[in-house]
Amino acid sequence: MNIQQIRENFPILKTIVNNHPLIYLDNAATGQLPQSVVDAMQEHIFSANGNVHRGIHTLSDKSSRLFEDARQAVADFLHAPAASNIVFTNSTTDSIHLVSASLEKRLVPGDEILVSQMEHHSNFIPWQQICLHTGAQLRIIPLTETGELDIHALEKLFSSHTRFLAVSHCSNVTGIVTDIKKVCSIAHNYHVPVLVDGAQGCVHLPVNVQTIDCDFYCFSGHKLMGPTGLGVLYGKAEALESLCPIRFGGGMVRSCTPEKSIWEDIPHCLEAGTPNYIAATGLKAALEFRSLYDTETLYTYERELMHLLEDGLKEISGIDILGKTSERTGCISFTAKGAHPFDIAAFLDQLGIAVRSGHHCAMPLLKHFQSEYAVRVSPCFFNTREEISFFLASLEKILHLLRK
Amino acid sequence: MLKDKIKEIETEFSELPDSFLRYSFLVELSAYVTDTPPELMVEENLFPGCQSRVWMITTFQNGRLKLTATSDTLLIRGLLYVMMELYNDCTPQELLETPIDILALCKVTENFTSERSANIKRMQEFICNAAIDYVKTS
Repeated sequence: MNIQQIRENFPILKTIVNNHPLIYLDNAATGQLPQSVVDAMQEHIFSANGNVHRGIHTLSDKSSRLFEDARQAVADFLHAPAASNIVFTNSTTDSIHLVSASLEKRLVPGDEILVSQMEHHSNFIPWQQICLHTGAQLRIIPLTETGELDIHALEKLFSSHTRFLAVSHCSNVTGIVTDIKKVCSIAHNYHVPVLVDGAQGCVHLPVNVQTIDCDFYCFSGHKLMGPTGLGVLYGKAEALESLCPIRFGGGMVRSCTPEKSIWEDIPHCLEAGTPNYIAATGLKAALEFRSLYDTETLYTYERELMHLLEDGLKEISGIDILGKTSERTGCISFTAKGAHPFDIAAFLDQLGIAVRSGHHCAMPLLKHFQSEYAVRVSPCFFNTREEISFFLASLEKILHLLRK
Repeated sequence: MLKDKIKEIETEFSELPDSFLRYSFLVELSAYVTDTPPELMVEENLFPGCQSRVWMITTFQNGRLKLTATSDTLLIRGLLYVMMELYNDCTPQELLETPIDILALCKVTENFTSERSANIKRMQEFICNAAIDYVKTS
């Protein structure tokens, strides 16, 4: 695999930041767009821009076809049974809200929802809030000391009151991967449906929703190098049938009278209003871009970068890496003795290195590690070994300066 | 006098050719923020912001400002040192008649995100408001 050749597809990688070539290590926040994604969206805008599923004119038809092609591409990417299992939303957060808002209508006091302590706020707060609204109880799946989901503790949390389980495929802070197939299997023993937040997982791991057997799986297009403003909710047919529309408007209604409305079939009834069809075309192009390369080779290379990063961090004194695992994927976070994450990230930026500092929208997880803030580094397949080495050397230099 | 201090700080930062060195200088300056009274670092003096915690209080002694501030991050603590160097011992009139763009003065405007720049501006507004209140009540 020729990394330099891959990098040529990303115009932004030629950017100079603070007089240094950009080293983009914040892929967990958002991915960069290859030229082909921008080209595909431009092509849609300039040659097929018409609102989808509304007009009978040629542009509307072309646009609708492109939109549905994108849906099929996402279904193929997730190995979903059919395109109708895919709902387009605005974001991962939006996908989760669609499910949680539907569930809220069915919850009664005493019901229980399970979420893990490693969740991004997007997959934590919606469940917390519906519990507060309904009198249901939010039960937290604890983590092991190393930051992995405590499967044994999980089994003990199920009861006859458990109604739902929400868990992430891969932590957006530690990069720790959860055995979601096992989680789904356990949950299904108790007839509890599972939503998997795949915002990080599907970027760096192969996903087969049928093998995983999850009821819902969601992610955002922008983390997969597509545009922002587009989310995906996969659902098993019966799981999607259990949802009720939470937004009402154009495109989702078969008939409307003053007395009542009858919805379109799934997935359209869950996509009220004009969908972000241009972004859907962009996401399809992003998936096509990734498919140009052997997936296993990409993932193996990313794992190599992660090992390089983790081994290098371990060599630096006073660094505390959050979590311990044999399979860290996509990102790694750390704190450094005597240096605030904000200062570290701000200094790295002056050398053109983009990393994230903060609580990473995962305060319960940071609390598990007795931290408030951390620095997160998230490489992807366009990063080079040299960039990782430069990052590590820069970090050492900055820590020396901050600890003086 | 405030104008002289401004010029002095401007000269010091102008001599540093890049943002990494200017940041390093701010870290050096942060070391001069010492003897922070423990009573300063309480919730009520905490300045609402983002990742950096900032504690700030203003008092007036004999008609001159006494600014006491610190932060848990060194870059912001360095900027607070600059603010204290500039504003301490100023009269409210002097302070209000001489608007200062701290980030521009330290030549780091482009290096601070808009959110953090806004927080720095809010800190200066807080100081100016203290001066206005002092003028009104004295």
